[in-house]
Amino acid sequence: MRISVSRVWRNRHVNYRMRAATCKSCGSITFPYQPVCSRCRGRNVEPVDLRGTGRIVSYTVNYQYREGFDRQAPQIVALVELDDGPKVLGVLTDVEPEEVYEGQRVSAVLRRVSADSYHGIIYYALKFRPVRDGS
Amino acid sequence: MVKVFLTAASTFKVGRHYNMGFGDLAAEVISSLESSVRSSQIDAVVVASAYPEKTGDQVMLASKVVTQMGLGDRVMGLRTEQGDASGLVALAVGYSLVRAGLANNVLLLGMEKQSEFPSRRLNDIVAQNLDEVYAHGVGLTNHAVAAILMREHMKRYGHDYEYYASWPITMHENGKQNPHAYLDFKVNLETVKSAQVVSEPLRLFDLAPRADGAAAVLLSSDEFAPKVSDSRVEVGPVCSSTIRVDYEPRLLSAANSMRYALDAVGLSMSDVDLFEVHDSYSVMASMILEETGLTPPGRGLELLQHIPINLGGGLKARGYPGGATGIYQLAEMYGHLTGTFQGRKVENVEVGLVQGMSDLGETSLATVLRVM
Ligand SMILES: [Zn+2]
Repeated sequence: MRISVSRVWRNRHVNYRMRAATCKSCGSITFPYQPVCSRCRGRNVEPVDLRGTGRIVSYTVNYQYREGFDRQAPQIVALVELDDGPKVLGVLTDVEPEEVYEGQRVSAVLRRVSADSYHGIIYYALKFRPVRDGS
Repeated sequence: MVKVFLTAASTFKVGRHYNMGFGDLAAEVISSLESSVRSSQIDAVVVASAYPEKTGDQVMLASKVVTQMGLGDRVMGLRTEQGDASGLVALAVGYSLVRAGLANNVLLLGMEKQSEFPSRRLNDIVAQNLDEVYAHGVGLTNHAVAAILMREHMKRYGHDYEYYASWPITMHENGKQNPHAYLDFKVNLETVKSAQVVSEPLRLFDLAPRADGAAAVLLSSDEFAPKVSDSRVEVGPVCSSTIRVDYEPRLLSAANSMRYALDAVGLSMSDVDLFEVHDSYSVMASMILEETGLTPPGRGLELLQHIPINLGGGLKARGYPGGATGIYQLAEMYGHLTGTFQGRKVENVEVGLVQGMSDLGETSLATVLRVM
C-alpha cells in the first residue's frame, strides 16, 4: 500500500482547506499549519483556513517528475504569494507552460494528485489554477 | 578537556556500483583503513546514511557493519540521518563521544546507494526531504524547489545563465584530477549551456549527480591520535544551524553554521585556506559562498578566482553520495591538510572549512579542520 488512509485523514485540513497557523503575537501566517509561529517562534497561534488566492512570483517547468506523477509531466511549479501573506510553493493545473507568467493571479483548487491503484485509495490535495475572466 | 583529531581517511570512487551492496561498500573503505582501525581499537562506529530503508530495505546499518566487518562486540553502532547532511551529523556525534571522554577512537562511515532505481524513483525517495504534510504530497521535487531558488537568485542579482556555468566548469576541471571522482571529465561553456533542461532554468550541469559511494574517517582523542597517525589534524566543534526554507535567495543556515564554527576556534573567514562546500546545485554553491562575506552580495561564484574551493570536484564532479557526502568532504580535507590528497592540490593549507547541508539547505553544519 503506497498511501496511508490515516495519513490522508490526518492531513486533511492542510490539503483540503489550506490550513495555516496565524500568530496572535506578531501576525505572521505559517503554512502548512504548525503549533509554533515560523517568524517569532511563539506558541500563541490559531488555525486559520487560507483563501488560497494569490499571484505567481516565480515558476519553473519541471521535466524530472517523480514516480507516480508521470501523467502530470511536465509539471509547472510556482512560488505563489498568497493574498493572506505567506509564500507557498504549489503545482499549477489547467494551464499550459506557455500560458504562465509572473504576476498571474491564481486560486487553489482541490485535485486528484496520486492514487493507490491496488487498494483504490485516491490522494487529493491542493493545486493552483490561473484565475481567468469569468472564472 | 580532550581534543579530537582526524587520524585516517579513506574514500571509494563515487559511481554506479551495481555489484556492491552496503556490506561491500563498508568492506571496501574499512579494509583500506585496516591497519589504523586495528591499531586504534575503535569504540564506536557512526554510519551516515540517508536513504537505506528505501534504497536497500535495510535498517540497523551500523550493527550490520560491526558484525560483518568483525569489529568486536564492544563496538557501539549508531546511525545518523538528516538527509544529505547526515555525514556532518555523524561527525557531531563522533566528536561529542571523543570530546566527552566516552570513546577514544570513533570510526565515521558514510554510505549511500542511489543507483538502484531509475531517476523518477530516486526523485521520489529524495523528495522525502520535503515536508510530508503538504509539499511531498502534492508531488514537488527537490529539483523544482532549487529551480525556483535559482530563478529568484537570478532576478534578485540580475544574473543570466552564464554566471552559474562557472561552477560546473571549475568543478569538472577539479574532478578530472581526482581519482575518486564520478564525473572525471572536463566540460565547456557550450556543453553546460546546451545541456538538457531539468526544471527551468536548471539544466543538467547545475545539479550534482546522485550516485553510490562510501567513505570513512577515523576520529581519535589527543591521547590516542599519535598511536594511529603522525599527522596532527585537529577537528573543531561541529556547529549547526537549521532554518525553514523560505524561498529567499539566501542561505542563512550556511551563514550561521560557518560563522559559529569559526567563532568556536577563534578564527575568521579570511583565515580559511581552503573551503569545502555542499554544492548540491550551482545556485546553492553561489549562495553558500555569498554567505562567507568574502564577495559582494549575489556574486559568490567569483570567489572561485580568489580562494581554493572544492578541489576534489565537489558534489558536482566528485559526485553526490547523499548522506555520505560529509564524510567525503572530511576525507578530502584531511588529504589536503596532510598533503596526501590524490588530485588537484594547493600549497600551505593549514586551515580548512568544511560546510555540509541537506540538499536544499534547511539544515547546515560546519567545522574547521586545522594542522596543529
Ligand atoms: Zn509570530
